Amino acid sequence: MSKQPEENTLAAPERARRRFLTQVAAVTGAALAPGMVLFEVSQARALDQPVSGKVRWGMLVDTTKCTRGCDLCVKACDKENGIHSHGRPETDSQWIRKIRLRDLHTGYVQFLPMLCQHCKYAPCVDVCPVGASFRRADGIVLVNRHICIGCRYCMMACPYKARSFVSEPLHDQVPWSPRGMGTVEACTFCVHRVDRGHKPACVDACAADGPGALVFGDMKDPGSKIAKMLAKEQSSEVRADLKLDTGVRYHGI
Amino acid sequence: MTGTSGHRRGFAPLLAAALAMLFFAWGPARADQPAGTGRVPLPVLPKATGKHCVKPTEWMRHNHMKLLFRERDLTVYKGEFIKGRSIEDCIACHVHREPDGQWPKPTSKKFFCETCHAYAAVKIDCFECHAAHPVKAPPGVGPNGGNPLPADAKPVPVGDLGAGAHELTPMPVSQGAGGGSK
Repeated sequence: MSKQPEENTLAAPERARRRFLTQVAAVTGAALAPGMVLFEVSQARALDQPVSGKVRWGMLVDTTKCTRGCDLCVKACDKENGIHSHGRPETDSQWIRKIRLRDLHTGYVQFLPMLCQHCKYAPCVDVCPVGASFRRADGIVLVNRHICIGCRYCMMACPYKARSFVSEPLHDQVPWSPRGMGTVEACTFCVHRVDRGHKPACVDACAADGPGALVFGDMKDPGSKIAKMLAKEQSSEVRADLKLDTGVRYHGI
Repeated sequence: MTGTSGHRRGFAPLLAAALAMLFFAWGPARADQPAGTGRVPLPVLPKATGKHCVKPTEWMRHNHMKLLFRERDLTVYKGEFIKGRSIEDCIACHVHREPDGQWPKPTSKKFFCETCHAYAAVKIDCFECHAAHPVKAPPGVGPNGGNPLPADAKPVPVGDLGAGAHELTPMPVSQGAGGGSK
């Protein structure tokens, strides 16, 4: 923590400058207050405050932009969360994967990333026998791996095959994404970034080097980019028939 | 029966004396002593880099796990972070490189936590998941956001793909309707 000089030790001009700045800030705040909220301010949360149900984090995937051959989101996720292959693809952890959809009648092929859909009515949370699967107030579905017993009911319950089980000892995990043997894991929406006001790694990677098919934000904030796009464009849930109210929506499927 | 109870009365003081002897013999051994005088040498803790811990050392010695349990639940369920008290902060202050430049393994007695836990016969599994040494996040990775991929990580152009190259990931691929598990 940087040390703030005490008010009474400041020279007179410095005190005057501070008073002026305080007044300016107060006036500006008042001018902004009626109906006008800065975008970043509306999303920021002090880290010492609990997450709020006034926010619901969500993702919109534009499948018309998602391209064949691109797996930047998958690579970014692996790098961000320290996910390494054990050389056994059937059992390696996958928090996000690319899926190919082909219309059986027309042969039309499209691609989309599949990840934890962060459902409002999450089947994984329903079936967890120990309460390790839970949904945070801001809509992020997580596994509390402190109490997960590794029974994998949640993996069976998930219609999206979004969860993975860690069956081997892991080494060199990254501090911001603890993972370990005997527990189930899935996409966390990069909760460590989101808590600090940033976007998930896949979204940043897709925007920086890829087609920019992923939009992330607070779906309950009418001023957010994702809320505006959801209001303007067609989007749907995968397996909407299950009425899970997913936090990930797809445009163009 | 009276003979038996008389027998018992005769043994009672002896038993009490034996218990007292046991207490005096073991009591002081249980208390903290300078290393070398006990049967099991006391742990020598690596020195922390910070000036002081989040609570006085004596308090932490007895209650650190209660503090960790309470605050991990705050963070996991409510997303609350208490500045300077995450497990990362503990590690940053208490874990140092060994003289050969390597980080101590969490199972080694040179590791801060294990030093005491080995002495007290406590087994923890924190570091089967949590990083056991400080890690500085490279640019773009970690809590500060950004693109985690290096700048030259461009998507493969569609033209370069041969037959079957759409199998981007080796997971079973959904074929239109339904899942694709094998």
